[in-house]
Amino acid sequence: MNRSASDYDRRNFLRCGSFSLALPFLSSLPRRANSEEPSSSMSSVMPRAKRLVCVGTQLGFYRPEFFGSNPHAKLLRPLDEAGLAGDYTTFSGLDHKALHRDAHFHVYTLFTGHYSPRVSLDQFVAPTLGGDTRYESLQLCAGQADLSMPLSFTPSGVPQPDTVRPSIVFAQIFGAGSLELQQQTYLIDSGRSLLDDLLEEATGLQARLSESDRRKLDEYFTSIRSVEQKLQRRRDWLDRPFAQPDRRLMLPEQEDISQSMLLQNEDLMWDLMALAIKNDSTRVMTLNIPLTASALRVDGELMPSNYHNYSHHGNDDKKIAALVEIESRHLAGAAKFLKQLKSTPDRDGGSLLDTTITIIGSAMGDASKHTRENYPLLVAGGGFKHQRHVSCASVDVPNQMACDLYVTVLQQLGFEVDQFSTSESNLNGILL
Amino acid sequence: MSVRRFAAAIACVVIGVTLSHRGSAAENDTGQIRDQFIARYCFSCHGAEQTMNEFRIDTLGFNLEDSETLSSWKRVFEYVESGLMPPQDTAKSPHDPERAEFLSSLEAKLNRAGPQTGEAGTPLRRLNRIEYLNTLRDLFGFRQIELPNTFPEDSTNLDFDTMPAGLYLSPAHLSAYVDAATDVADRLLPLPNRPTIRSFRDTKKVANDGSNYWQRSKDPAALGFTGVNISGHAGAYWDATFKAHLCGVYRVRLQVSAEAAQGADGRPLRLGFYAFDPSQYAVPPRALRVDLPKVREVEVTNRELEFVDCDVPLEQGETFHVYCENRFPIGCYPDRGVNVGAMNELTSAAKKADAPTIRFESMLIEGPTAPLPRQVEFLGNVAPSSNEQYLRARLLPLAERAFRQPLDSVTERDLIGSVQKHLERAADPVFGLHYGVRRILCSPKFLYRETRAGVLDDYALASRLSYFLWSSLPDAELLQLAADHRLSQEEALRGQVLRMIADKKSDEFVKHFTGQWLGNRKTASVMVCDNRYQWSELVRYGFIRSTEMFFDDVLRENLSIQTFIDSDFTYANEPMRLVWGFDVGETMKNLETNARQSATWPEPTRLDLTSLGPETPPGVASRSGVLGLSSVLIATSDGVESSPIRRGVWILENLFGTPPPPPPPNVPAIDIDTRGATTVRELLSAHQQAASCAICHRRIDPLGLALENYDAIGGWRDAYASSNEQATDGKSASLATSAIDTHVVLFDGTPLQGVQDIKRYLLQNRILFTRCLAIKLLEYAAGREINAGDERSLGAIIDREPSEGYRFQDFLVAIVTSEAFQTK
Repeated sequence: MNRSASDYDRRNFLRCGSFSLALPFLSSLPRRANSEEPSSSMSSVMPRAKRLVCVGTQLGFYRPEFFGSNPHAKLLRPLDEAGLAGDYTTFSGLDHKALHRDAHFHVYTLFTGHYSPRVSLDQFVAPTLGGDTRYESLQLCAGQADLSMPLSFTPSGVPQPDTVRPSIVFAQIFGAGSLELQQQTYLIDSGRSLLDDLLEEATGLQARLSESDRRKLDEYFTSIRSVEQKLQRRRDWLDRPFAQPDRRLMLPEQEDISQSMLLQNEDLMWDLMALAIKNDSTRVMTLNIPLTASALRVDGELMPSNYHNYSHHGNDDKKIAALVEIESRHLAGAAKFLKQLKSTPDRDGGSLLDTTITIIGSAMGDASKHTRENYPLLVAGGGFKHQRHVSCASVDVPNQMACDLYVTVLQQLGFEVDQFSTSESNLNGILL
Repeated sequence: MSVRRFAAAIACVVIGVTLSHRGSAAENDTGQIRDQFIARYCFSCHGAEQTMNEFRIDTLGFNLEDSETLSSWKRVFEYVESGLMPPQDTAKSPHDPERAEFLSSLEAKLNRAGPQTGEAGTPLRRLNRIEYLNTLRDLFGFRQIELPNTFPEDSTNLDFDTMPAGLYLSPAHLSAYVDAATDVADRLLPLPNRPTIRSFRDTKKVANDGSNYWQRSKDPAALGFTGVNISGHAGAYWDATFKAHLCGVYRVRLQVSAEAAQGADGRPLRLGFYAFDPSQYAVPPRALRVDLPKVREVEVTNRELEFVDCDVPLEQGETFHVYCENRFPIGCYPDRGVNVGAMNELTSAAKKADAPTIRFESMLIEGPTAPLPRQVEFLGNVAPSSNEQYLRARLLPLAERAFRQPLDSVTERDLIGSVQKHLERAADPVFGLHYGVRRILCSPKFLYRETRAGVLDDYALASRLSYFLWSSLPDAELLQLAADHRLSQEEALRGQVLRMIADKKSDEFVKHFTGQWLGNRKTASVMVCDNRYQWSELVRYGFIRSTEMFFDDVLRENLSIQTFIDSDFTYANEPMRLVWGFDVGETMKNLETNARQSATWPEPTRLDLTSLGPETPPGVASRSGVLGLSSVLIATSDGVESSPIRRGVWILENLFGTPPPPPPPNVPAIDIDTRGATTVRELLSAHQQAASCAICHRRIDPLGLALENYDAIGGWRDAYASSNEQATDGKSASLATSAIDTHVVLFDGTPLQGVQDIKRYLLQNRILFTRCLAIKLLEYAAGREINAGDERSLGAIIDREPSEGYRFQDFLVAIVTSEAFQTK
């Protein structure tokens, strides 16, 4: 029986205590695989895809207009109009079979598969896929959220904060005024020995703590290792030049990240994600499209009611129309993003779309009723055999696990895994 | 969240059902009653034969050390207490006394488990964003220090941002701490071989930026500032391309001439240098002379062009404006409350004025040319050395203050040892100090507080107290008392609480406690539908400030805590009064123009609710207490519609102290069809179709409906807007015009009408609010949910309440002297 990284057990880790600190860090992650963990080793076959983009909305999608089983699905129109009709598949009948969670809080499980803290799909693949790029992964958020619920979780289940300001993402891709090389080198090098000292200090402190406090301090240990890696990466990339800014992308002079500007900021984020891929700044990204109880600005006008309100449409046609209007902007952004990937060739052959898997969805089944079944999910590109819509529900199997889809995604990315989080099977027969 | 709801549920039982049994509950463990009840009512659905919702009670056991087990039992308590379980529709259903007996037995059992389990104390918590920044500020006394906007936000999912559950330490945090520590070390220590920069601008290089105010009277020889307020006409300059890359003293060489021997004040014309960090502003600040620190002043006397050299101290990231200080008479720069006409007159006079100023030809900035005085001082005014005594003298006092307690020998040795090790490879001793400062600021001893379990020692108590009332580290006096072991004495503690409240730093408590308890943070971000309401950012500002000022009065004037329920005063600024229906003699648009001109926000003023004139608009008299505060009313709406549900939940949670339990697991999603409903009441009753919803909504909805006279932004209304009006706004016309009916029946059968009756109810049941406020303050201070194990602390606080009620400062003393406050 293969043991996958998703079995990573926090308590186990803690029990190892300071001893484990002496080991090469993150030894359980795919990249540093050893013979004991055969499931996470890289396939020798050239993967068909090498990038992963995970997009989640907190308020779901209005499913009757989202699933491709409806030939006139309004939400899919932007994709079809962008000439992407053969490049995506929507899935119905997939979910996490999630139990008792608060009305909205369970949506953070979209890419983890479970409400207890565990690694998300993007962070599972990031150490492997992100090896040769400036950033192992980037986490973006389309706007300021009313409920802060990140999509991305580290292997120890700690949420990764996402970047809300497009200007910061821009600077990450294209660089911003920075210190002299010599000083940066000093800070990075001394920063690494600083982390070693701190690790020692924290180990000493740990001995005096109660069990639950030790668990809390684990966050500190994990962070030290992660920052160490980040510094190493920064050091490696220190003297390599940034990409030249794309003059076609104009950031607004005055950055406005207020909640009403969600759709405008989201639009910029989709553009920036396309640029990050074209410039190979990173190969793993998440985009969080948050819940806001604020009225959104659409084409310069403030909508009469707010996004969250519309999601509780209670079958009111007018509210549904407004909700679909908002959601079709999400997919219009996606269509623009995917179209750019499709029109750009990949160095290794095919287009960037063929080598990039994009998952768009939500762990909110029906926001009007707060249901956790039958998620709206869409996969685009990635060299899959696409077929507009697949229903995973049948008479025998009412709903299949959403993580089954993720297993197939992982395999397409070159991971030899047959299990991820709550998966029970895979969708290879459908997508490969 | 369940723990706190559990506590609240207990409050309900204790106060509502069996007021007298609180004392005896702990001793009376009637295990038999409990087991019989469970066997009789629970096993059939949650046992071996049938396992509904994947929950089995027969195998749960009473190992309350296990947090999962403990929380399962708490959930059992909640569901039985609220009547959700056992289901009422089955043939056998417990009688009320049976239920109460079971609950008190279970409560006793859980009570005993409470404080002993590892879960009861406050888990290790790091400083939150606010505490971290304040601590850096107070530790180093820098003029300006802000966290970069890439600094990760704290989780906002919890009631208070002091709770460790929301205070993750992610790699992004540690990375930000490392960066911030480096920034602080740079500010304290000038590293050798610092790169210098040079920036030169002259009249030829100043392109027209499209603003009329760039140049005075289209005079090409005079550089000007782009701001639009009056200072912009004074003769001013800002090199927008310059930003200090390191802190230090910068040499500024100005080529200037004075147009006259003296300015409006009869003294030579002067230039003032005002520093600011552009990354901290959405728009570069206008010439807000009141806000920006003046870092340098210089006289310009020569009528011919000459070079004037000035040394300007700057923090990293700062730039500066240069203004002619005395082109216009002092007092010509009004900072508040000027009417539009006068302001316009002044502005146009300033534009045309022939009043002499200083003319700019060019400006050269170079630097840093020298370290800041602060940096020289940190080195001890001597050349740095790698001598151990020197390193100890420079670093140990800093570490002691940063860690908020005396250092043990291991900590000292490790710190100095690592610095010495670093110096083996470094060329200059300054690198060692730089390293040491970074190490101190990234240490878990700095970032985390309260590391020892059990009763807080004097130093930990000093920290808890100072982070409670100041959101920052303890000052010298608190630490001295801790060193003398006097802080845990009640009188000393009382003296400190009063001293700390009197200190300006307790503004932090006012700001962050009202921000979270009274909805101010939510108010700061809620989006208001401006088609529908008279809205302006000035109103938002008034909402936030008026809540702070109301709370501040209760705190600083030591008023009765019942003032929070009902008061004879409130606060409002002019734009708010307009929303409330007062005739303030101006339109909202004019008020906005005024505010733009005066460059300050309109402050709220106190409104005496006992002597309102005959012209007073309806509803103003009832704006007393916290239920009259606009921040509460707007934070419980979405900026578009009022939400009786959210308001009801808010009142239960924040005034009654009895938040409704979370929705039960796997409630079958009811397909609510609201198309037929025409009033809010009907909408809500549709929501109550399912019995499982109705149980809680019977408690929630009446309280919310009683507040329906307040619209989404807290304006007063006697009837809902008509559907016609809404249709023209593009609003879905679901609610017809109808008079608002605030007659409701409370969960205990009390009939109420409107908001004043809720206040009356609370005043009659005073213990509810006293208890609720105690829980809120303790949760904020201790950073954990107040649970069954804290009954004793709460009981002591309630029992000590004087017959005329607590005054707020005395209440705070009771809080900080309680066991719950003084235990981790």
